[in-house]
Amino acid sequence: MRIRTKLRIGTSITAFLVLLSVGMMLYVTLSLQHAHQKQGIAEEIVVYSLRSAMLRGEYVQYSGARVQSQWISLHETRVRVLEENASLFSSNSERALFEKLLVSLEKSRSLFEQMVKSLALRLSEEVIQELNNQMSAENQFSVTTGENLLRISREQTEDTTQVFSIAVLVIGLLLLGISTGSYFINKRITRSIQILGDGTRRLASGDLTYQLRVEEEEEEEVADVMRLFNRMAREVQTSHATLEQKVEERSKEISTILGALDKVALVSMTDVRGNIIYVNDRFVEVSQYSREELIGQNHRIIKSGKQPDMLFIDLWKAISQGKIWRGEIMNRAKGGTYYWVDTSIAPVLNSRGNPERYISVRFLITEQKRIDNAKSEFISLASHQLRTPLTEIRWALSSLKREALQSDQKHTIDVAHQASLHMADTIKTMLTISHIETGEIKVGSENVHLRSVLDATLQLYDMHRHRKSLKTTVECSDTLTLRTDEKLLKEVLSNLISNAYKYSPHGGEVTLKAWRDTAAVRISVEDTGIGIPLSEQPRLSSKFFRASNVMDTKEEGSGIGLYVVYALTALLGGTIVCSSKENSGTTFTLIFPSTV
Amino acid sequence: MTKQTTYVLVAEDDVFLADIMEKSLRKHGIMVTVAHDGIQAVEIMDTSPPCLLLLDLLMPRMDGFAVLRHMRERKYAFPVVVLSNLSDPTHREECTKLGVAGYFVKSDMDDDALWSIVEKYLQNA
Repeated sequence: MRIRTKLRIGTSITAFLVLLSVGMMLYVTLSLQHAHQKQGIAEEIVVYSLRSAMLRGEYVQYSGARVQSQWISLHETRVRVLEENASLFSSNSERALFEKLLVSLEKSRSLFEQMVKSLALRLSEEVIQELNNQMSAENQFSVTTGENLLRISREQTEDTTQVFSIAVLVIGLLLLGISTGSYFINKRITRSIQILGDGTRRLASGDLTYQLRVEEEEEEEVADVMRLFNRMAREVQTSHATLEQKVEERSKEISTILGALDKVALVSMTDVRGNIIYVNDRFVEVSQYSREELIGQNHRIIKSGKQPDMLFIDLWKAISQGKIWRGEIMNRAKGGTYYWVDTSIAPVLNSRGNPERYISVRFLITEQKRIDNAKSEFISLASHQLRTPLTEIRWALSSLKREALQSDQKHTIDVAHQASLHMADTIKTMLTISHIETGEIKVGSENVHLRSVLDATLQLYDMHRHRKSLKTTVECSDTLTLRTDEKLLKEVLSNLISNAYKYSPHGGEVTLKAWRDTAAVRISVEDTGIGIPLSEQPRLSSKFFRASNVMDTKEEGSGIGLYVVYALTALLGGTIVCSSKENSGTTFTLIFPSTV
Repeated sequence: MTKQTTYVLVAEDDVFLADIMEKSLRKHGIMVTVAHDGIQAVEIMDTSPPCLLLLDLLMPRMDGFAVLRHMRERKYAFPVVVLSNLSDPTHREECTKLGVAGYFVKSDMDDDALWSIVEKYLQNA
């Protein structure tokens, strides 16, 4: 049976018993009260009857009118008392006695009246005596009856008390039984909760195979809960096993990846202050320190001191803000030799988004650096060697141009002079690219007056403008400034203007605009030239890009200018937007985000 | 140190180029003295400091950097404009550190540009 049903039944029985007790108590109280009343009346009857006998005796001797009326009044009181309380005597035996008593009283009355008459008529002593005897008998009867009624009523009281005692005993026993029952139910529930509690603790402490034993006699609800518990435990075990398997698989994958990484990269991990927590074998090998010498030390131990502090300030700024930093770092091995590493440092963030570890992966690039430096040195040297004779040629031609020459000679000198200028430009561009690629370009920052930069740059190409009769417009506020590197900006603009002039038709228009909007300073160079085919526009920033339609023109070009424009603009922190339509013109817009 | 006279000292080992420079500047009425290496340049400036020094970097016997260091030791105040075919950022930086006022690449200019440069820096001197 379910606990709930049991408890319900227990509660119902208890309620019923309580009601029953209350009812019984009421009943007993009423019936006792009844019995007491009856006893009083019976006693009264006995007392009245005795008094009535005395009065009669007196009357027989003195036959006074006062005694006569006293007897009658006593008699009437006796009858009235009886009649008023007739309803009290409800049982058959009582009723019979009661009726007899009334009849006897009636008889006494008539006998008394006969006696009154007899005395008045002075009947014989015998008659009077006879009447007196009869009345005495009746009187005796009413005393006896009163006593009988009293006895019956007393017996009734005793019975009621006895029944009541038994009932109290039975109810008491029943209540005791119920409370014992609920005590045991309570105990079993407590025990079940304890078993479940123990099971949960074992499960929590990691014993996932634990199952509760469901006893045959277990309460139904408890058994249900236990079975549910066992099911839950099994499910936890299953999902735990799946998870473990997955973790194992992942670990294997990760260790494979790490194994591969360990072979090629220097991996280290530091705390937030840069103190080394972990280094891999490759790191140990390249740095020439032992693992023991590295762990606990600050990462500065391998710092070469050969790179500007700014680099490291930027690095720390980035990673402490939770960003990944990437760059080339020169480190110093224990033996004093230097090595270059292409370094990526990634912060490991805690739940609040703050870095708590830094993991760095470094690839040794000393050899590439050596090659890069050699290349850079070669280009530097080669360009110097080319420039030395070129300078003489250019300066010689330039001074020759001023001499008084015949027109065909003048033309020859002009062509040679132009060629020398072109060659100087080529060398300059080549060097710029070399510097961009080796990261040697230093970006300055000054307030640049844009109007004068535009004018000055345009002036450099005046000769081309005159040659093609181009119309040039500059739209720029005289007060507009931009914080940037003036030389590099001029280099970018020169390339754009040179291209605009080069690819504009004779008599075309070139418009330079510079303006500030909410988010940026924009500088645009717009021409009415041949345009760039739409399909080729995505490749604009690649090295040696030349649009297919320029091949038909006579314009010379290497396709390196735009590459320089894109690379330098990026160095200046700007972006470029190009909009172009074939045969109608091209607009390049430089966008520099406003810092103010 | 003798009193400073108004002339431009050209330190340039390329005789042909030095000659063009000298002629071009004389046309504009400027007095020019030419030194063909660093040692000559130093000797000349120590005798009579110029108003402006046009300095090549790569020269025999004593290069332009050494000249600049010599000038810094002697605390010369006249401006120096470097005219060289070296254009690496490191060279430019080194010159800036040594107090050079201007830096131009010879192959990227000619005598017209030279005059505007000299005019500009003489005004400042």
